[in-house]
Amino acid sequence: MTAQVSEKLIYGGKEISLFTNPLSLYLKNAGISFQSPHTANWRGYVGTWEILEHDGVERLYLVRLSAHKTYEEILSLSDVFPGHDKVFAHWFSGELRCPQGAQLEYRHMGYGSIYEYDLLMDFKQGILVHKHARHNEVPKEKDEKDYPEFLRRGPQ
Amino acid sequence: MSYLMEFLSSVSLFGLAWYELLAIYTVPGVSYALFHLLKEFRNRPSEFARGMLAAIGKKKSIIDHLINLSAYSIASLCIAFGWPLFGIWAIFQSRKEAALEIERNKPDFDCLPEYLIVKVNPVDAEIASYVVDPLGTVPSLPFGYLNQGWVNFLADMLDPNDEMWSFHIPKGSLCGKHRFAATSDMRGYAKVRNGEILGEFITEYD
Repeated sequence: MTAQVSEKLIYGGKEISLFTNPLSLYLKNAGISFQSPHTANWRGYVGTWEILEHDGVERLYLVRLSAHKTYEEILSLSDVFPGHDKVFAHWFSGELRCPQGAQLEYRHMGYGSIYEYDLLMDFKQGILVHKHARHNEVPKEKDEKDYPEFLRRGPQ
Repeated sequence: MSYLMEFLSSVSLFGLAWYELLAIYTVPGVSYALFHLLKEFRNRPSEFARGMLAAIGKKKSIIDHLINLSAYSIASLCIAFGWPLFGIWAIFQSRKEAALEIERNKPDFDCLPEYLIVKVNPVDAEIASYVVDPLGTVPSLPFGYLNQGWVNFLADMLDPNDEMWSFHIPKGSLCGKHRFAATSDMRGYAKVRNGEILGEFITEYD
């Protein structure tokens, strides 16, 4: 599977990559699916998210959407959520992962690539409850013996 | 040997001799073996495939052909005489395949019975579901933006025996038909009938 184009998060005035798809539960519930325009975007959309603060509570909002109804026809946020210019992701409980810094290792799969840091934000029903950063290291090169026996190549 | 011949000569049913009875007995097995031999013959590698195999040094030798011939002969004899056993085996196999097909076609729900918490009244669930958003972006409907999923879930609860249960799947717990680990806490409601989960509506997930 090809590495996937990330979602975007506006955080601290900057737009950063977001390696989580908070919209997926909404789409599943509403029975909506989009057309994949290419192999780096199997989900068929890219959402831009923003954390907005009100009375000391930070909430996650979807503020922009670019979704492929067909290969040519692209829907925006107001097409999917008529009458809304932002959408509170109250269904989202879990962790947002935002990669930061240099790419330490490219992985040709989903959001598998490893970066220097991950900014991790925990949400409960769309409300930010905790955030922290994780320092990643270059993964150790795997040797033949690190794999289970059934995955080894055997005599060459 | 003479005892055997004497015994066989004495065997008779409906005026048929032992060899005629044996021939009748082997008819289904021989037919079955012939059917499969014919199928094998029709599925033999094409001229092109044989050429490719020869090119990569995998052309069959005379010995290979002789081994194949004896294997097919022994298999045909086994089927001709042991066809009742093969028939029983085929019935078991088809039943096993049918059971697997049913399992494969079962809908895949994340919730498992061990994650059910308590039976819930849909009205109470709706009252507790309204979302507070100071920016006023969320529609004032039960479960906000997930209302369509809720409506579909309720519309599917038609049987009088259907019960609605709340559920909570803790992060890392095994869930779904394929027992994948949940990537975050998951909450929602399940449609339960006679202890079996027949539907689910997830309200929180990552």
